[in-house]
Amino acid sequence: MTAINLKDARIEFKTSKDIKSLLQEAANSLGVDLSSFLISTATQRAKEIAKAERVLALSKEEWGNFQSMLENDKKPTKALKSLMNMEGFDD
Amino acid sequence: MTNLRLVKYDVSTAYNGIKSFDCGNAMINSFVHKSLKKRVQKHLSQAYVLLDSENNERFVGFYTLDTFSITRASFETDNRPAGLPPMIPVVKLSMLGVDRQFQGKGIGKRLIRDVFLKSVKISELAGCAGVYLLAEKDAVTFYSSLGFVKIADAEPLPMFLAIELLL
Repeated sequence: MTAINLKDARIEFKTSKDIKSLLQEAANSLGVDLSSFLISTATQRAKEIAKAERVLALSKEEWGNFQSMLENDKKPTKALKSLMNMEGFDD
Repeated sequence: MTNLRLVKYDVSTAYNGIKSFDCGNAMINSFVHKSLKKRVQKHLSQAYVLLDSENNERFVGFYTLDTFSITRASFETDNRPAGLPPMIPVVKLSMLGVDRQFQGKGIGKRLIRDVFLKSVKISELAGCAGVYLLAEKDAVTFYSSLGFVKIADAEPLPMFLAIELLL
């Protein structure tokens, strides 16, 4: 048995009958049991969240806008200037 | 005016009042109570904490910075037959909070000023194209006024300020 298949922890939680049957139906339609469905779905989402914590992937159009924003001349706004003139904190 | 000190978060210090810290945002409160120490301990974030020198160094505010990258979705391979999608290194302002008792005094703005000063230092020490953050709906106008621009459609809104504006 590999470490990946080792099941050495347990998750238990309560939910409503409605949500349980919704989840069960989704699991049934994929032909997996409820636990496998919940674990695989939540694991996938957890990986997305972990990635989003370090990287933002832009679409082609968003990337183009971002690039031109970086290349254009920039001037600080009044609000930025006055914020930068605010008092600092003690060390 | 109270004397507030801003210091780098120290994982071995038990900050006075940190357990009862309340900035009015449940997610940020829970981060301070449960995750802050672990994230700094693991070097996932750096945190700076605001202490009230006139009240037993009470923890009254904080912010955290993370390293972050903005990239192009990798499945679009046109015009880039070789290599990885380009990655732009930025600093992410991940969390910021000021205790309710200290709100409405411009302290949050002064914390953001400090974020900007630190970002400039980071850009001098390593590559950093600007400051990135996810703005909640009610904060978008404020960040826009500072020059942050929306870089993608999502909620909360991904916004970016180029480092040149801070130099």
